[in-house]
Amino acid sequence: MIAECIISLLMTLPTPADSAVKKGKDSVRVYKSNQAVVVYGTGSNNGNSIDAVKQTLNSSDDVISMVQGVTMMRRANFAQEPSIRGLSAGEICVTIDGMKMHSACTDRMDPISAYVEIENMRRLEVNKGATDVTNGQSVGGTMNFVTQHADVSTPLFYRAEGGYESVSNLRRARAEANIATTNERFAVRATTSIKRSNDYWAGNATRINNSGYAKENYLLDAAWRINGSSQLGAMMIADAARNIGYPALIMDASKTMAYIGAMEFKTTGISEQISQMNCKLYWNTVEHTMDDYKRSVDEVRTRVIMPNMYMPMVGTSQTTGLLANATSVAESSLVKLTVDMYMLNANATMRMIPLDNKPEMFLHNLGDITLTNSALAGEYVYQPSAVLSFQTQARFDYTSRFINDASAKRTLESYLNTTIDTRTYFLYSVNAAATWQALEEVSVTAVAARSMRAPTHIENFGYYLYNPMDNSVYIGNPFIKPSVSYQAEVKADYVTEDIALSGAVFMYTIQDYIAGVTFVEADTTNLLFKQAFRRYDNIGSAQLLGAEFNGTVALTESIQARFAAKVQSGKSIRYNESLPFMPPAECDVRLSYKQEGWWAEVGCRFVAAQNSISSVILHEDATKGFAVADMRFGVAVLSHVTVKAGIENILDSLYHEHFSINNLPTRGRNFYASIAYTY
Amino acid sequence: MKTLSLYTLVLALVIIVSGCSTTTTEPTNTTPAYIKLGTATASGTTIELYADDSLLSGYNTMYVKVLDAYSKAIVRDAHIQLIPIMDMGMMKHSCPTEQPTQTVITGDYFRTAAVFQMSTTPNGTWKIKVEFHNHVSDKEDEVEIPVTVGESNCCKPIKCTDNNTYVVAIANHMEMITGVNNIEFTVHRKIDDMTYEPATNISMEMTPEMPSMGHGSPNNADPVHVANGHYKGKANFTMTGEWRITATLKLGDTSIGSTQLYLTIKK
Repeated sequence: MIAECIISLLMTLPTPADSAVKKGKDSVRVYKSNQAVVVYGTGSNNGNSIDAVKQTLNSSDDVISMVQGVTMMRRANFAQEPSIRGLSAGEICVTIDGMKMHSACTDRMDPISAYVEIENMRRLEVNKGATDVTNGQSVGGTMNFVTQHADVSTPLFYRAEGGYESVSNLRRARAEANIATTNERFAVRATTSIKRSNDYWAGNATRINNSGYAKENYLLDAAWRINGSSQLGAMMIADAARNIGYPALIMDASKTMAYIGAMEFKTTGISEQISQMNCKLYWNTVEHTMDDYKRSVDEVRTRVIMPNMYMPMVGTSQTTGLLANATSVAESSLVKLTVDMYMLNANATMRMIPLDNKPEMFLHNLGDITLTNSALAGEYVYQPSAVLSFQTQARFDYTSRFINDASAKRTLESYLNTTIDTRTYFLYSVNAAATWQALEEVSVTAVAARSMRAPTHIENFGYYLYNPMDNSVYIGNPFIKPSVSYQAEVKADYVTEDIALSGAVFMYTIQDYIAGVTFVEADTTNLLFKQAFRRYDNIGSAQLLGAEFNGTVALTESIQARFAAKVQSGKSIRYNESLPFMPPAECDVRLSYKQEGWWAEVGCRFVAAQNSISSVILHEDATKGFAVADMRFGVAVLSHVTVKAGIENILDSLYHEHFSINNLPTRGRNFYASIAYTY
Repeated sequence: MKTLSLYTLVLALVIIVSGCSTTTTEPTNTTPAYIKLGTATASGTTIELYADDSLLSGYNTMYVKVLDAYSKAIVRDAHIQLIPIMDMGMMKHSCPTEQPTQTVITGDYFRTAAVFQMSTTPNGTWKIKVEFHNHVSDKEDEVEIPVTVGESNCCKPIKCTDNNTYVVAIANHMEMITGVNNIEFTVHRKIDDMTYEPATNISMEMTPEMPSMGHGSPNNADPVHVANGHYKGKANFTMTGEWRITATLKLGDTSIGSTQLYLTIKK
């Protein structure tokens, strides 16, 4: 299994599976077990623990973007959307503690990654491509946020932090506390995070109007250790964001409310055959409201789509699920079975309110969709010798989805001129990996994977969805086939006392790639509606090729150099053009210095121009290359007080990433500072 | 014994309650939920005029109930003719109508229809003259019932290039909902101010559009003549709101005129 993650310990419960954890001296080539998560190389943060990353960075987005192969799609100064090797949305699977959660916004303003603040992130698991299907089948990969839970072995811990960022006048405050009873039976953990941001400034002192936001996030987690081998936990996250300006889009998010709840039972040592078993029931809901009421009347009147009207949209999603797994560990093998079931209800509506007192209009973007998914996944790890290990996984999903709302069903049926019944898909994925420790310092891993991804409920049943990237209106297609991905990847690691180098090459072939296909051309003579209509469809095969390299070199005991470089391309065979949002080649170089009580880091990211662009699938434009440097440091000023500060985009460069929607510029020079008290 | 008595009491209560509920059941009221537009009496016959809803300009189905003025018995054998009259002071005119097709009915109402090509205004009022022949009493007479016709944009007269004026209306505009609808038009040719006849020899083209949005809809079907000046087609309304329907009349392949009708889709 190829995985990317920011490492920390997985479990709080000691289990007999300890003996199965095979951890080399490099701590890199380790198989995933129920005790530790394994990673084959990380990005420029290679080797850093999550605590070290938290110490260095300011937000979850910062953490995610540090993972090699992960890029962030920017629509605002808020909650960027992750993509893995250029694949995003329905092509990847993003989960929180394995729990499925779905955006309520059909314009992808509310990525799931927005709901896990950095203080609640215990670990980030990123699997690229189809190399791990435990948390879901996808062609692009999975990203799982493992949250920090209440710890019965920590009697008292609390931490408070206040911070400021100049680029958007961001004020933030965080607090977290863990309290446990002395008998280590009960524990409660609570966190809160409050952020207030004004408009941000891009490079060259360019103010990006309408880009402020306000956000709060609360977490309450409780753990009850029933006995030495069993534990019951409950977790609740509430996230509220308001007045979020989206300068890259035609509307703003006036309110987003998310609630995530889960109860989990964990036990170990049930029998000789079953070493560990987890069972989790969860529920989450998102309500997302966006509108254009704060846009000027002039902007609304001259807007490129649907001018002369306000168009508030409300989206909701509720997901309820069961996630259970059982693990059996033997001397040289591990078997894990996972049952993953969930049900999604999604609804999205749009009112269109003309400015000139004409009758109001209304439609369902998503007409009360119900989606159910039942899956069984299995994993087998076999380590016949100290230098050889094998791993294979398989997953089977059965999913059905249908439209509940009669009006929405009727309008989509009328548009497509067909009858829409319940749509079902059966999906299966398999993968296999082998690792050979060729030398003490050198290991080689080869992976082959086959995976499927069902169309999303939006791709099946979405209606009148505006995409600013191609200025088109998208209509769902209930008859899309699942995409099938075949992936091959080879990776080599070289690890010594002072050096860790890693390199990987990968190739994907994705059959029945899903994208928009124009069926009504844009009418440029129509002053009110110049948009083309596009329908989600399978557009044949696509290929991804790429290579990733990263390494860490300890120059002295205190100084460490790190680098991460990648290059990749993606191509649609039918259209003979690049897939959209393909990451350009880039290299990240950092130098860090660490002494007792303080640390400092300086880094620079070099990104090449991206001229391989999509013109048919999506109307992309080329992106210029850029280089951006940052500098950070931290110091413990008192026994419990630490200060960190830094400068991002030191040269105040005005640039935008290739994944920036409507070429929204990235943040300019940012001075940040924070002070934290930890006990 | 005490328990048995309790059970007996409960059982008795159940029977009593059940019996009560049975005896108090109201007979089902099968009277259609029509709106009464007005009533008038002449020659011992009472004429009551009903409609499905408040009258709007355009096509309206109306229902005539004929009663014996003294016994209130429903008369089901009669000859009925409606003549709507728009009184504008200096001039009067009628509108296209559909008269009852039967003189003997099994229900309570004679079905009829009128295509009001304009609404009631301060300068013009509608009244319905009902000429009747009560076959039971064998008496003939007429009554006039004033009615109010509200505004809609589902009917317009078109002065066409064949030198005829046609009144085009969406007959079932109140039934339109989002999605594909069976849409029905009526087209009547004007003979004179008081006389209209169904136009049966024309063809129609129809284009639905949303004026506020600037787009139309796919999967529509042009109306074709079915009978008596009624044309049926399919109209797809992709969202709620105001829709404009451009109706073009053709003789053979030659377009002779067009008009734009508006309707508001509410659900």
